[in-house]
Amino acid sequence: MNGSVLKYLLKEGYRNLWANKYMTLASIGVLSACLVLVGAAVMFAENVASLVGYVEDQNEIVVYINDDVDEAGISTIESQIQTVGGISELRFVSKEEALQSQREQLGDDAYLLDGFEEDNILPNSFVVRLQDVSQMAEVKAQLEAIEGVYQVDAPQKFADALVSVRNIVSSIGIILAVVLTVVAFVIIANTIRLTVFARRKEINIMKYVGATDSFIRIPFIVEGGLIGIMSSILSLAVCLGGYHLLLGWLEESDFAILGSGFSSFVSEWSMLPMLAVVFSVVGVLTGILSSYFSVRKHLKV
Amino acid sequence: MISFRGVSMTYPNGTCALKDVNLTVGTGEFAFILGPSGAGKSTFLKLILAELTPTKGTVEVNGFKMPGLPRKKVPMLRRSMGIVFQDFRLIPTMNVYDNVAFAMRVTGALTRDVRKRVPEVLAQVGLARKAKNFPHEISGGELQRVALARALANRPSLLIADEPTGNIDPELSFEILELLCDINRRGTTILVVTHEHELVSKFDKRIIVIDGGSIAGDSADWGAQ
Repeated sequence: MNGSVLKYLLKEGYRNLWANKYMTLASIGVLSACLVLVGAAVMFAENVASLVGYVEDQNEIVVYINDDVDEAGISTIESQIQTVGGISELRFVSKEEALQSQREQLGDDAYLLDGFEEDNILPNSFVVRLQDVSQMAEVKAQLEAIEGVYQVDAPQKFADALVSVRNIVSSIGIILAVVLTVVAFVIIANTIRLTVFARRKEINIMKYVGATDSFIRIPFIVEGGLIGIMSSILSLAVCLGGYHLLLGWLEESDFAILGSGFSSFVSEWSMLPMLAVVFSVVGVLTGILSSYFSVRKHLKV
Repeated sequence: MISFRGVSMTYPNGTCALKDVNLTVGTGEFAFILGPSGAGKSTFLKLILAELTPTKGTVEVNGFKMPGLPRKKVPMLRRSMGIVFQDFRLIPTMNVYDNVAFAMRVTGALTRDVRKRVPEVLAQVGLARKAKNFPHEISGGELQRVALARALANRPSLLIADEPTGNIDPELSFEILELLCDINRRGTTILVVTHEHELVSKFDKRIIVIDGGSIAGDSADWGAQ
């Protein structure tokens, strides 16, 4: 196949878009609608994931140290903790700091702690944060094994609950995206099959003139790909635009409290790359594959 | 050019459309295939176009032998001939020029050759001025001439016309056949499938009569006797 023929076939695919403009519009409309649904699912899952991620970052394990450990022993323990995997943050809290924060918590009742300055019963401790709360039990066991450690307090139940919430949300997100993608595929394949069926005579004529299968197929595939690209761009604009409006509305409404407490919602611009990838892959693949399979049926003349 | 050797064609439903047909059409000939509808003319054409494979016997067209022709070779067989259909079979979304150019494009012709040849062949059938029109904008006779131009675009050595006059006015029919005679004089083998006795009788050409699935008469044999 020489360059002249390839150029002709690409041009034919483009020309067909215009020659069958109602069918083209129908296909773009259907495919875009499906992609917008997929996009909404992706954006929702992203926000839930970011929320769960924020809460996850709040996890704290407190490692209490025996009072008979001196400063050199404390730094030995610190370096031992650092060798434990999966730790994102490590902070030392001295006896004095612990007392001070207890006083603050008691507020007006802080006098109850008067006199403890001389004989501080609160131990030195390390506060440890984990990268992934699902590793909590494991890390806790390792910390307990360190010599000089008196006790390890870990919010195990909280971690377990969070992990199961995260797993449920991510599986729902994946299932939703997969189901919607399959639905998009079936609907668009049917729409394209209709456009191909409307042009079966054309395909038939091409066969009689001596066109090879690939010569007939390539313009249809180019057409399907172009429909995919246009639908991706359209649905990207609709999703991001809609999301932008939604964020603006949420910030002004009472729901703003939801966002203000922690990291707030995922911004529309950080959604862009992921949506662009999802849309172009799903859109273009759907367009190309459904064209390919729809034409194949009519080539047997 | 075309040869049928003991060809029979039985459809899967048991209908026997052709029975033991033997026929040869040589290079440069002009022959009519004449017969009433249901005589087997369509089956005869479909065998030539490799749309069907004979259930018995062999068909050879332009050096392509059936049965045994691989599916990949079918487009090559079809490119080696020009075909004009009763219902024209033009692509409705392409203008006259592109419909003719299309037949050249499928053979992998270069753009420069297409630009040279298409106006030439449109002029030959007298449609140079209608190049930019779409099929729905021109008359039946003109449509038939576009179909003819498309069939001629690749300079085929064999031209097959299936009821070329079936859908057009009688006076235009004569014109189309004259055009075919002219093309034949330039060396192209022509096979015209038709049921119109009267029209055929106006031309002094070989007539092959098909009836009930077999050859009922051949003017070439009468000449020999």
